[in-house]
Amino acid sequence: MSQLLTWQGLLALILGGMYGAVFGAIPGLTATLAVALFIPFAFFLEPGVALPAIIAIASVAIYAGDVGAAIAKVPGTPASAAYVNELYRLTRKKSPLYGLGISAMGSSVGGIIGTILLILTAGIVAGIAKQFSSFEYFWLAVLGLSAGVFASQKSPLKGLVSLLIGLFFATVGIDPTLGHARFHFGIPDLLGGLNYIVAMIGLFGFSEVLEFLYRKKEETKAPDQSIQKMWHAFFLDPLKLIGRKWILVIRSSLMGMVVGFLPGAGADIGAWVASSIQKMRRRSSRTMSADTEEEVVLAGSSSNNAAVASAWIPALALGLPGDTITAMVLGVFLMKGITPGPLLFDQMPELPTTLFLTFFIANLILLPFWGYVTARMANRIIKIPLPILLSIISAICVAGAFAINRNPNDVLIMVGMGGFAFLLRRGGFPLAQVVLGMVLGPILEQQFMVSVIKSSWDWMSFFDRPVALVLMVLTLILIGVGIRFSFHNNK
Amino acid sequence: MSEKSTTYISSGLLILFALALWIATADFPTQSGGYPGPSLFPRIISIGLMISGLTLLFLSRKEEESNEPSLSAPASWQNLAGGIGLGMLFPFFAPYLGLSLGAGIVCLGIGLLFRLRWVLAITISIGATLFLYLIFTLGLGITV
Repeated sequence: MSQLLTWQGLLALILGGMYGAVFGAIPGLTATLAVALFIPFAFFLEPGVALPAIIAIASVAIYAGDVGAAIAKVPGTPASAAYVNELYRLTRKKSPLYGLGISAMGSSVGGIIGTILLILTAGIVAGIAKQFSSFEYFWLAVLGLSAGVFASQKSPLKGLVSLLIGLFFATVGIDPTLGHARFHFGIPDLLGGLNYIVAMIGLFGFSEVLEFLYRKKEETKAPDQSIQKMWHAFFLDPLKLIGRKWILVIRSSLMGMVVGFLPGAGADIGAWVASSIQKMRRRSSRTMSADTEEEVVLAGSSSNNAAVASAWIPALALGLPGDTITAMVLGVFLMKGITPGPLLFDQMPELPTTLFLTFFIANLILLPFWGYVTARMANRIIKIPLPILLSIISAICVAGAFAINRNPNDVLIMVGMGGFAFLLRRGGFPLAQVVLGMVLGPILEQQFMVSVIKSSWDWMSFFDRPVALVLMVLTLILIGVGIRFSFHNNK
Repeated sequence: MSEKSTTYISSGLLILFALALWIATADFPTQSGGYPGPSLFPRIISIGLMISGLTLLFLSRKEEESNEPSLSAPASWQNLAGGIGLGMLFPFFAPYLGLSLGAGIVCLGIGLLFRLRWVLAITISIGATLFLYLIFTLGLGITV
């Protein structure tokens, strides 16, 4: 803890937060990329400074991924894609400060709840995580996909089609069982599969440019606000909303936390499950209103930052990465000669304490501060006429898609995805489910194939294990409720 | 084109795509013992798309014609094609112009498609080029 309270530690937190805010807000530059580029610098820093800086970068960057979603419908992370439409509509209807205020305050409160639970339950939860095998991961992926289908507001059937298309995109490249190259059309770049960040830029960002080029839509301009009103819109109104919807925030944070601690699952699935369930609840009660958008954004944002904290549980307690960021953190541990795992708590008790404190500072101070700064910037950016804004967005989409792998062919994929998304929109098919399919597809297929191979194609093995059975029952309940309410709403 | 016709076309395309997907998996290898391997998931997706396509087709027959704006409403296919074309051309001119200037040209082209005035479009694209140069080239060292 002592290192954190030195000027180097505090500077690392502040600069880490700023760096995360800039990275998260630019489409194509993700929290993962921000941490990856920081790793060479982490080599020269003490672990007590480097690791808090990474926490600050990740916590702020995950929130800042919503800035692109709010301004231009370009989610910075797959987790943001879960509620991109709601956040975009909210921003256009009210103001970026209010939309991003809900996102930042929701992330902050979710992150704090996640941190408290991290401290209280790290040991217990790590024990449960050890029980998870491929069967449980398979059912978890099925649960996430089912939630995604019924979250589709217009038609679950069209949501299913989008999801299947996303799952198809996920099959491009080398398959996980025999290493056979699928649907690569002789293009070597496709052997590694389609990068879903590139796809997301095309599906949400470039398709918006194409949509506007095709048919000029009416602009809705956010009204000018005084500083006092800005303060209200960003801090007070979202906090009042959180006060009114505290059960929703706690429930979503718990969901994010539970999903986040599973190695490999991370914040994305947590955000999808929480926001999808909220959409379903609203649809079932037939009360689609402005409140729905606020609740969906609140559910998704509180869930994803709770998951960011809990993803550290398997990393610290078991030495297993909870997500891509903690995978890199494990690399930093090894680089510094620290062995993560149960012994870490005995050998370096001050390090987990420093990390827990950093999570509190990041969520309590850094995220609201940098969140407010980025939201003020967004508030100015959104006042720019759409043709100008979209011209700039098109350049950022192109540069961002190229920057991910430094591959010009990724730009072609991004543009292709933009064109494809344009057609999907014409047919009334939702786009977010395509991303969900691309994110969960590889997990689903790999865990399914591992399960059937290790059980020698004994299908009953999917229902033998208690946790797997619970997840399956939850999935069936979700599907049953979803179908019932779909029919109910169509009557 | 009405919404009903759009649904007919989407359903037809889905069914065709599902069939193509099934056929494409025909020569995928299988696992020992004859168990399905790489073809299993694409085939499940193909069946799912086929059923969804047929269900959409069936449901659209029951739907009444709506008067919502459709594909025939005032729109510009030329602008759309221009936008896609500019993006597609980027990988070809970027090696000569560089990442930032290449993206700046895309920005200029899109701005002109939006009927922005020349001076404004050029000013914006210069600004975007400088911004991208600062972030990607100077900051991250990313070049084409």
